[in-house]
Amino acid sequence: MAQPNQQFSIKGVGFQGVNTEFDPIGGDLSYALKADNCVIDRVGRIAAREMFALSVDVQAGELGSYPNVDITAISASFDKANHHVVCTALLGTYVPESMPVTRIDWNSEEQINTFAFDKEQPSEYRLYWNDGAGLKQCTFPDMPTSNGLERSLYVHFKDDLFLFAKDLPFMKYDGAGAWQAVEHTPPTDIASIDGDIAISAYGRLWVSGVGGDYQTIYYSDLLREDQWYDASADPEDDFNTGGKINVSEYWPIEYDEIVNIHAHNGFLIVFGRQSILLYGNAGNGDPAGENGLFLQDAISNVGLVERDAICNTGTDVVFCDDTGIRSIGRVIQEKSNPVAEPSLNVKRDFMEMVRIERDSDALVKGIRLCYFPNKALFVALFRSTGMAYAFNTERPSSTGGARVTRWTDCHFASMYFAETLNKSIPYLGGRENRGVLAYEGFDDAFSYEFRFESMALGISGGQMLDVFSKSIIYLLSSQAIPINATALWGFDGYLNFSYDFKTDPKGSTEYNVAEWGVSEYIGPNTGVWRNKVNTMGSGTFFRVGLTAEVQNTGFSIQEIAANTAVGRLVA
Amino acid sequence: MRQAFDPAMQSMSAPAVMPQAGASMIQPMTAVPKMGTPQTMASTQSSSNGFFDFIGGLGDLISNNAGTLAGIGSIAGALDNAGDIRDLGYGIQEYLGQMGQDLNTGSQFQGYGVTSDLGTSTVGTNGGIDLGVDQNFGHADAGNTNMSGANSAFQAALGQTGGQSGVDWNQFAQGQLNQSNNVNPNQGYAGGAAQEAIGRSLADPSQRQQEIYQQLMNIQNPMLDQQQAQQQAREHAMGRGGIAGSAYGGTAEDAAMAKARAQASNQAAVNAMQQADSERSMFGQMGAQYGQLGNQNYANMANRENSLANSAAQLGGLGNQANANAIQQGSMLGQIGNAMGQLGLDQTRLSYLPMEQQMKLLQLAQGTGSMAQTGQLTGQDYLAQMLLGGTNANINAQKVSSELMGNLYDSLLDNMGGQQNSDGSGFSGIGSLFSDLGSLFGFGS
Repeated sequence: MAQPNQQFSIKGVGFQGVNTEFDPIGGDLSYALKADNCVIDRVGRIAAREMFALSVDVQAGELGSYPNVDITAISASFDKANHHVVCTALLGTYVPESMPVTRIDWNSEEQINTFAFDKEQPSEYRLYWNDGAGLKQCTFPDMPTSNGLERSLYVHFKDDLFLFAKDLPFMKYDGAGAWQAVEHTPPTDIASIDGDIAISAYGRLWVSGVGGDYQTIYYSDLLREDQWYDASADPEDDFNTGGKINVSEYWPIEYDEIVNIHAHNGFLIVFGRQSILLYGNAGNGDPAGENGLFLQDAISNVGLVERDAICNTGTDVVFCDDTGIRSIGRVIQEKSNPVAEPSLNVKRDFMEMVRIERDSDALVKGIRLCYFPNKALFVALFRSTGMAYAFNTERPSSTGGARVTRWTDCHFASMYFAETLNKSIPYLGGRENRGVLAYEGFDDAFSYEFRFESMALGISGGQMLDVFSKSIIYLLSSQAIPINATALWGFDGYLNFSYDFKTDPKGSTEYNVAEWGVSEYIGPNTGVWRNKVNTMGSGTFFRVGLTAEVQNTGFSIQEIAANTAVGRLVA
Repeated sequence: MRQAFDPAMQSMSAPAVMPQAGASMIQPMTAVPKMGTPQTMASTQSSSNGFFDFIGGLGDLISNNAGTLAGIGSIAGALDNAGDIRDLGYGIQEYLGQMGQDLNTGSQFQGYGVTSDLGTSTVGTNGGIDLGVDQNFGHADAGNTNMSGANSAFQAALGQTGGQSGVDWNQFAQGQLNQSNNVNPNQGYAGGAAQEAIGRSLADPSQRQQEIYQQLMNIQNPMLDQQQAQQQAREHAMGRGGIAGSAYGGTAEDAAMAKARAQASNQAAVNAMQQADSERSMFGQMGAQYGQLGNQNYANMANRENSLANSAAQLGGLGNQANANAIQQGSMLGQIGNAMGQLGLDQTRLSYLPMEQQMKLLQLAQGTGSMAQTGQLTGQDYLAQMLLGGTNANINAQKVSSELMGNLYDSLLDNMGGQQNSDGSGFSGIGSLFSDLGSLFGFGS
């Protein structure tokens, strides 16, 4: 081996997130080929995601007797600085799905499992609240069946919390575990507001699906949840500005239905399955009045796959289309086609996940998006497979797509970001009796596996050379807690070599010698630990990776350096 | 009938037409019988006329008796004597006849004549008078002229007395009256118009309001529809077609349009009501005006009727006056006629004055003529008397002779006849003679 030692150093490894759309052998090493349960940390490194930490234990409360509890919808009731969780829980017999789902990886197949309730077993939706001692069932009006709660949608309007569900009159939370049907002046042409699509925006409640009609949006009077469209000859309130919008004639495609309604930047965005309607002047007085609501634009062939596959990042509206995650911000700003595609780097994987989710027959399925501003990411959750993509919102990757990582083992079915004046909590509605979770911290009873796979190394000079792996140095930033890790390397696309090791925070910490060299980022007891793994093997398309069992501490990959000899192997 | 004056009417023929009362009577001329015309004497013995008849009868008697006597007396002498007497009678008769003839001839009127400055009038032997003086034709003509004028005046008067003037004012008056009667005062078209206008003014306004409202809306609706279509198009283009607010039932534009339409409708309704009321008021005024016009028309027609009636009355009066005038004129004409007639009559009479004078002369001449005639007749009378005396003497002589002979024979016969006693018994006499004669000659028993 006469070749000199050549070190491949990946600084800021994968900091642009996963890119499965890129050429993995001629690509940019700042992208990762796989980054499961990772995030891009504050300094742009691949880091372990935080834990889905237990927030409210369902086992300890009255739900403890139920074999399986999935929290399918979650929100919080706010009382000034304090708040407490309210949620919709599916109670029943949980049967883990044994049928795997096969996904074609870039050079292999990937097996993932799906979760599902046994539909033959009894199940029931109930409403719960956290009274401080655990989840406690709420009181709520009698309903013939609780199935409508599967489409529970919690909406904050003014200081109150409302619950919309399919075929159930909308209810108002009293702040102490009781839901009451809202006494309201029903729309003139409908019995009651019982839609399952709702949003609070511009001082009104906007609801669709009323009476099963997904072509019409009913909006309440200004700041009045009890007054709706009243076109009777003798209206109760002459100043009622409630009304309705029938959009059936304005879809830019042959047929569509309202999937969700959103509000942003003065627009009322009506999402269809395959198209989008943009109404302007939504917040300008009476929508039906002069200079009121008007159709600003209609977008074809871009829609929302399902109601909850959307979130607002404050500066943008991201939603899940059949083609991936789309952003409508630019459309709004420039009135042009939506070119922003945060999922661009994982487009086909994402589309495949959407397809799987769409085709799933699981009882709890669907795509949920939630924005965790304090984490600078929004998560697209695929409920039937328990997988999610986490999109970093700080800045996009070099491709224009968001920096994205993938989360596996997402044992939650719902998400809600609660934020008060002094506290921000990304709530997760746990599945499998996980209870109410919070994406926060690293302390949890359950560990998860962090996995990183790099793009191919050792391609240079326009020649296909053999790489002889000698060793890999992992500079991991973590607290001074040993982490069980596995070094991965391999050739020809396969990470078929591995070496388990445990990080040793007792070594030199490379303090002040990190790339950024700023101690304040590390914090006390946190250091960059150097871990070297001697390797073996040779081949082309040399790749490296790392898996780690994450629990009680997080970590990030500061740098990976592979010592190799590169040359042509003469047999 | 006007009698044309006949100049030849100078004979004594009576006028065909009797003059009326007051008119001069034209006396007819009476034919004067010819004086001295002898009476036709009977040519037979049976003529009982006169003395000759007596003589004849006596002769016959004698003859008869003579015969009888001759028969009885059977003497030829007696019979001859009787025959002679008869012959004598015949002879006397013929003589008397001839004498009468002569007397007649001799007593024939010889006529006479009168001659004056006026002319010469002659009375012919036959009694005919040739006055020889004609009328005064100048006067006659003037009289005729005046008579004719009178006649004309009378005719004219008759014409005028009918009361008919030359201009039939009564007919005019009747015409005017007919026109007056035909006027039939009424309110005319104005009355009907007033009635209709009043009817409309009193009609239920709702129907008219509805009509006006409909008309107004029919005018406005196309524009409103167009504006609404444009509004809806704008609304749809803005994507606001499906928006419905409680305050509007649709969008504000919909409400504005609906409000505009409602306002238009309301305004149209108000306008319709106002217009209907205005029309009612107008119709009321029109009705009143038409009523006034009708009344005026009625008054005019009544005035016209009265005027025509007055005119008719005036024309009638005029007619009456004209008739009166005509009558007066007729009367005047009658008077004129009378005067002219009288004048004519006078003139006619005057025209006969020469003749009258001549006739008076003739009357005067009549005495002389009569004296002449009387002389003549007296001569004749004397002659006749003489002749008759002679005859009579002859007869008497004959008679005596005959009576003597008769007595002779009578005595003879007495002797030949019986006696008739008082008891009827008789004695033979002539009868017996006759019987005897008969028996002698074989007659009788």
